[in-house]
Amino acid sequence: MIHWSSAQAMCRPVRPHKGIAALLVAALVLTLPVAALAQEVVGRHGMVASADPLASLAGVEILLQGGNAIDAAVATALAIGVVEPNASGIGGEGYMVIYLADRGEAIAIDFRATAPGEATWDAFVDGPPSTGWGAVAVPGTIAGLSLALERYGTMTWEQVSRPAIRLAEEGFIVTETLEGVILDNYETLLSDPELSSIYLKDGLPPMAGDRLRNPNLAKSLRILAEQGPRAFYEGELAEKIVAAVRAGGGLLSLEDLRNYTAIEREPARGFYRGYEILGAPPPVGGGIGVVNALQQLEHFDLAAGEPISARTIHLITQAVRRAHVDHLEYVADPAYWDVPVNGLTSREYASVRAAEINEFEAGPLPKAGNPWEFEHERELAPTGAYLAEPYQSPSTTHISVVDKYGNAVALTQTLSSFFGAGVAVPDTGIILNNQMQNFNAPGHPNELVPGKRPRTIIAPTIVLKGDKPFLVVGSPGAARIIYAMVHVLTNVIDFGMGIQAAIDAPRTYSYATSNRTEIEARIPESVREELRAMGYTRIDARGDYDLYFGGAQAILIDPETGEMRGAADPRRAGGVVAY
Amino acid sequence: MRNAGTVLLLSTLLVGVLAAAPAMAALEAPALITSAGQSPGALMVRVLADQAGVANVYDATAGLDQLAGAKSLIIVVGASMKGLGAAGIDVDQEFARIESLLVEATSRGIPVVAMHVEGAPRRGSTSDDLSVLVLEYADHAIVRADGNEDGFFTRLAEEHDVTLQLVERTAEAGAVLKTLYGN
Repeated sequence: MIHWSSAQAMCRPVRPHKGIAALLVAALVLTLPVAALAQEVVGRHGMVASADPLASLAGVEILLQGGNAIDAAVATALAIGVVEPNASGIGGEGYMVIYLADRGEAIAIDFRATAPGEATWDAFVDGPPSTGWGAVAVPGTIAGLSLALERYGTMTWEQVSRPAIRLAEEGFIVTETLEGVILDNYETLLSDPELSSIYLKDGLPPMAGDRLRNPNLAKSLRILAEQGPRAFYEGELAEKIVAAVRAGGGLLSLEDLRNYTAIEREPARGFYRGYEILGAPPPVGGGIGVVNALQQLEHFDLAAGEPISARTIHLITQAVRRAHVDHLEYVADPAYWDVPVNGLTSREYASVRAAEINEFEAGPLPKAGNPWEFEHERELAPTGAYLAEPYQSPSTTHISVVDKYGNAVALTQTLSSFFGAGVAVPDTGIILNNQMQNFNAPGHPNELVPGKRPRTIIAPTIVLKGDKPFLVVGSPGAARIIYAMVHVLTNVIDFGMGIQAAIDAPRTYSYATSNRTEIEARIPESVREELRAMGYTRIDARGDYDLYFGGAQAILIDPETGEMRGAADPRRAGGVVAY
Repeated sequence: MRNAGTVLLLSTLLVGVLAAAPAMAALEAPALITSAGQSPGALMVRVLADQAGVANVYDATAGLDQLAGAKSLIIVVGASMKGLGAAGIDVDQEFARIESLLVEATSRGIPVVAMHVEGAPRRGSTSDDLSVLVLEYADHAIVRADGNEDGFFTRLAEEHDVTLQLVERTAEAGAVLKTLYGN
């Protein structure tokens, strides 16, 4: 029995009478848009949660063929790049955290984009642009996915590529979410011939219910399936990518592509009320940030209050604000900057930061702390030197996968902005990222240096209970990611919510460097009034379920029974599929 | 709304309208195409006008100066907070700009075409208020049918004696423009 849900459709079981053929039938049904919140999906053997049910289905198809969670995660990552092309794709990058049940080990794979070898701040007028060919950094997605598959998967690249190739070739039904995204980015799509040829029809946006095909991307995926993933970095595809970027005035070279490598790293680790938190380490700040905030919150009895109360929102805000200013101050590519990872994730440091929090007042905005005292290494720079909040785009996507063996993958990938740099390589269907915008000017920890990886705040996360995965979760949403993660994790761990309720619950976000708080409009006026009285002087309400606050995709596993419960975020067209 | 019966009904309506259109005097080009609300709809209409061979000047934030050489005015309604923000315009300024264009066009005898081509997702209080304003001055209205499920545009068109032409898909608005301009 296959179970599924879409954040735009009601849950219903689908019986796979004819194996994969039944899955494909399910795929057609899944895309019918119905205005309703999703329900939890229950599974016992394997589960995939992603921003689109068709991509989740691709992952489950691989699990049903005998693949493990890593195989399924790679298949889902390739498929989501087809059906949610605005948020990620093979011209992008990301990070994943893997838990291997048989070894009891966790690994993080960094496939963040790197700055091209010719990219210096002065090579641009006033720094790198945010759109166009000059905004393109060296894509890491294919290298990261192939590294994971080669080391920890069981299937070939060709096998895990099949669902994505099929979706690109045969097409898929445009959802209301994708229709809206294409409308919002219409001018960008219209101005690029390749994007226009794929995502517009006779120059006009498709409507929900239309079928959208991407034969050029299918062709590129077929080249990779036949020649192997290195063909992205060396050979015909690499030459096409570089030719297009150079013709458009960008800096990417064949040498940049040839030299790109994904990096296996030790995950960021911490503890929260008996659970172990495994996250993505620098150059991203999400893993450290989530651990830092949660370990501060351990000093307060959240469960003594209500989840949607001024007290809970205040305490979460204070902890995350501190984690966020620490991120702004200390996190960068560790190959170019010493990052106090141990200090930022130490419980002693968290207790110092928690002691700064007044339980009843917002107080002044926090400054960066001094985690170096807990790193047992030298202090590099005066604290507070690098505080500045960058542009924050919600345009990323997250995938959570668990298999019947107990392996788990949390994978977050992105193009940076929706549709990345707003350019696609002619004849390939490959949309290129605009990660260059995430570098800072010279003199900053995150300054632009050739070969360097820009920091962001993505946070693919696996939570362990004992030595078994308990929760696999992640979200898009830039700086809101840490808030989204802390809201979801505290809703589950402190308030005992089911995973769908934990994701559905209202979210908040407070700026780190100004006293501005944004909330979902469902939060009652009485709570806002209390918050104002505590010193949160500017509170702005957004939509009831607003994508601005992230789109979490999560799987909760009962460590005793192995039962999996999956949830997709109603703020996005997410979908969970299980069997 | 998108079931077969509805499609048939709308297709019949469209055919009927197209058949009836030649009886009216054709509009003259060049047309000034502008947005009321800064959604992408106006850009879509520019693409449609180009495809229909309707000479046009496109300026999403056109003022009275741009009306100078225009022989017709196409105002595409669709409010987008993102679009307004990107254009650096607030809602009040947008209403004032559109009203001044409509008043000036009417005083010069320039016919006005109101268009709403993004369907139901682009309905909302600001869009509707802009539609009320534009339909008051319009001679013709072209509306994607799923944006008129509640009869909103039908009522406005009847109230202001505007020729309303419904299309099932945005792309079909190009054929209506072609007919209106006698191409």
